[in-house]
Amino acid sequence: MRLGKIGQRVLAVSANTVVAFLILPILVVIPLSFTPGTVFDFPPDSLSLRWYQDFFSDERWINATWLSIRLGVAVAITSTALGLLAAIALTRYVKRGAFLVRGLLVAPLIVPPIVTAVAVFDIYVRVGLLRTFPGLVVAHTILALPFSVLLIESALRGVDFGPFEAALSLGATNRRAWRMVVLPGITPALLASAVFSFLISWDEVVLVVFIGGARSQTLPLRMFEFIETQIRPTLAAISSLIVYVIAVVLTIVYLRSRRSISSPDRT
Amino acid sequence: MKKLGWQRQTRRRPYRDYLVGLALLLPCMGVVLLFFAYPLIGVFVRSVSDPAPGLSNYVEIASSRAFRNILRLTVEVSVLTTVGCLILGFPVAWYITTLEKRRAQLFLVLSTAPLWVAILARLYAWTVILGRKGLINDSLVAIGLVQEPLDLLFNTRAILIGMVHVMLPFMILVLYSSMKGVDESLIESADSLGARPRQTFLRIYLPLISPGLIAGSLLVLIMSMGFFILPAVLGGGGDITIPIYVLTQIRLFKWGIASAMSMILLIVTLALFALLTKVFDPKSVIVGGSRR
Repeated sequence: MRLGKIGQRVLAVSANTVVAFLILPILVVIPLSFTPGTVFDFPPDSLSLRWYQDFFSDERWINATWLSIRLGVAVAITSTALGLLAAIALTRYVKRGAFLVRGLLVAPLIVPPIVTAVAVFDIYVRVGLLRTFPGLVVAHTILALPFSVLLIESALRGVDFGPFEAALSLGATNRRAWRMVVLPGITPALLASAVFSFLISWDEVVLVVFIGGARSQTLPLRMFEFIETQIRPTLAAISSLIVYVIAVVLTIVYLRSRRSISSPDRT
Repeated sequence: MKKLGWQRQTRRRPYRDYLVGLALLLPCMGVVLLFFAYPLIGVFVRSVSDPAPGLSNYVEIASSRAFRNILRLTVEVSVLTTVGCLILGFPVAWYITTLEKRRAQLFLVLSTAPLWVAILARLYAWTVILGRKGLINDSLVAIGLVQEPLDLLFNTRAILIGMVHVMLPFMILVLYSSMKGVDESLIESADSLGARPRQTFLRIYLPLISPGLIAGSLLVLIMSMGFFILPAVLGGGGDITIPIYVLTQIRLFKWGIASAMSMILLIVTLALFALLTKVFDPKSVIVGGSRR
């Protein structure tokens, strides 16, 4: 529904203000990350890379970052692999009870993270997975699975299995038919599942607060513990680095989507 | 045609298909059942058995004033966050629907960009802005509006500001997807039949997008109630919400009461989610309205 001229202008101003409220606060970390002092000082008298150096030269920060990256990749692989198997089962083999299975797999998305954390903590104490890398991978995989299953399942439902059957009847092995016919159709979904799973793990704090620890301290956990004491603006440098990466990625995504909008074959 | 192969296969070897399906589901279900569903049942069992069998934990929660304050603060913060997100999200979503495609795309990217930035980076930014030596206090002191820095951080208001900031992108996505689905011809016919803009808005547009309004609100409400890190970082010592209380009790090894609190949070969440699925297809919420 469109408004009159004045109404449209009011709408534009308020919408832009709200978007500014969304974006600008996140950007304050960037000037702070370049200040030489420990407190916010705007505009800064001089620029310094001290806090970036603080981050890159501190083994604990690097270790935490490295752990988070490895964890994210492991979760991306596990969640996508398990999600693919489950999605194949749900689309082609399981008919009765599929509703129940899907409900259970999606449940971690609905259950509040703190409740999941209590449950996972409880079982980890008993089986000895507390503060271990495999423990973190399993916990984050549970959180990422709903996205993987839903994404891959909906892609599989879009695949035309006619050519698949044709390939089989023409003598292709089952594996070859899957690889040549089905896989190309679901590759985007597999990639999306991997990226989503990585991001979920990368940004997860609540479970890690319970089941992570000294030797399995992920970047978010270290940030969380650091933010409370908040002595040095090293966090500003880390936050800025995160913002730079996101800004670059989003710009690329936006420019690509713009190109696909302007191309005539897609409307 | 599409389902032919599948149907033929099930007709031919139903038993084998059943086994294959089970084998494919096993790893996935195994992980979720063993490390999620089973311990979740354990949490429930603890809530009615630790320290003594019975409903003592729930009775304690219902009768103690401290607990009631925790529940009230949690609900209050979540409801106010939802209202704030509705007020701020509505104009943005509406504005995006009036834009041409390219600019709409740009605005969608901008208003959801915060979702991709690590949550702790966003929260840290707010501590920088609201802190005693932060951006706002510095500016206020510099222009002489206040002598002493104000206490903007570590209180309920700081939680609310942060909460609205974090939840707003979700609200915008849901509202936008429902506004986008409104059939413009209905608006046009109302206009051409002589309805005033206010009438068209209140009696045609608003009812059409109300599923989106309800779904967005429920979604934000659900996520806000279970939010742990944000109140932990931006709130003060007195701002104890349910998730924060659960963590402190676990650290004190008071499993019974922590489990009971978790169960209350879980039940409320599930009830709200059941409502959500009534008004909106949950899949379209999860994928953030990308179906259009």
